[in-house]
Amino acid sequence: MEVTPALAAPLPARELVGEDRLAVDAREDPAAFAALYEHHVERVFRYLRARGAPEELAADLTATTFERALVHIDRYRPGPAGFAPWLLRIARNAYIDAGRRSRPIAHLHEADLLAADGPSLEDAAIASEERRRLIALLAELPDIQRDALALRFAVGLSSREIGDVIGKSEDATKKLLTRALAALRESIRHDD
Amino acid sequence: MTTDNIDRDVEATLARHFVFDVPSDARRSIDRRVQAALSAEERYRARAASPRRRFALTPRLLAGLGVAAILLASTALAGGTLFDRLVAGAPILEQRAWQDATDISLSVTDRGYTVTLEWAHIDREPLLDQEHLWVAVSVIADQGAADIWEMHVTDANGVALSGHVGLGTGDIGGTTASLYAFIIPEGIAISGPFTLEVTALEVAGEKTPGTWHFTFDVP
Repeated sequence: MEVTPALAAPLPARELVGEDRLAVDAREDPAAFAALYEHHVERVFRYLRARGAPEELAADLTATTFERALVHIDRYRPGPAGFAPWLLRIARNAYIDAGRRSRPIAHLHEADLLAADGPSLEDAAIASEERRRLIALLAELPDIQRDALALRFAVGLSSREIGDVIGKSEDATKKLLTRALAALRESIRHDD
Repeated sequence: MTTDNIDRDVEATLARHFVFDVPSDARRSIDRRVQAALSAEERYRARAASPRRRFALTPRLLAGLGVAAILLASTALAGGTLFDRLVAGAPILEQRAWQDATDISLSVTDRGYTVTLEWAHIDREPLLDQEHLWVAVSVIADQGAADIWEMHVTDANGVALSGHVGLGTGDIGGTTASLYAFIIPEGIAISGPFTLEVTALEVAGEKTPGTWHFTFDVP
């Protein structure tokens, strides 16, 4: 089963061409890098938050991601995979490094998640309960599945792009996502 | 609940709860880090560049980059994208200004310091969003070295162009000229003749007031 991205759509081909050009220009031109930064900063932050980084750590790792990308921009090779997976691979490594350096990062930071609730008290209560439940269910999944779900639903990457980030083929990534969603579905059914 | 409904619910729930906006203070913090990295990278690349590179790395350029970084950092607090704030720092724009500039070659001497407005250029069709007026200015002192401390540009209707940012230096007939970019206010059609007024120089690290007044026009 191929799931449909619910948020940002995968980058269209014409945009990849433009981003590839910007990435090549960024080797010499800071404005080109800045354009890439503007386009991706929210996606990187969102991915890191979805992986479980609290707000402050997510901001720190987002900056780290772009610092590393700037230093290594010469290594980016334009191609069908595109710039976003290359950048998110850096973000993923930064997140993993941060986990190694300090105590394990919580799967999802509940207090942060709950702070972003809906406008009314009733909505907030419903959303809070829903989130608590989601957090508990996600925590039971293998890390690689949580990662794939974050890349899909927080960033909006296609299976091919997710595979490029996590080092798996497109088919293997589709199976991974299918298994993750099936596991969540089973947990929800069991809860109900 | 059917399986299809559960599928949609699972995906919708994930989508709903994976939305994280970047708080403004976090965004400013990220911007500052990336801005600092870009400035550092620029200096590193300038240092590693060939001696034949048009813009030489000089203490003055480093100082200019520092000033630019401060200006850009302060602009960050007022909003605008990093992309916008870096417009003035784009080498490709500098190159275009040097290539398409109008020769002015006007000199004014005051208190033993000769300031020359070497050339000027306006981005009528900017590569990026913001239009700029570019000027190259050199300063020759009877003794020691001097540099621009303060200057202002206004157009024929009195419209002031803000935020001069030192971007680098270039050689003009054996004289080192410094490049500055002034931001043209958005939505305003400026027109010449323009007035460039230098009101202070930096001499041995001190502000030295004076008057160096130029009237010029560019296509």
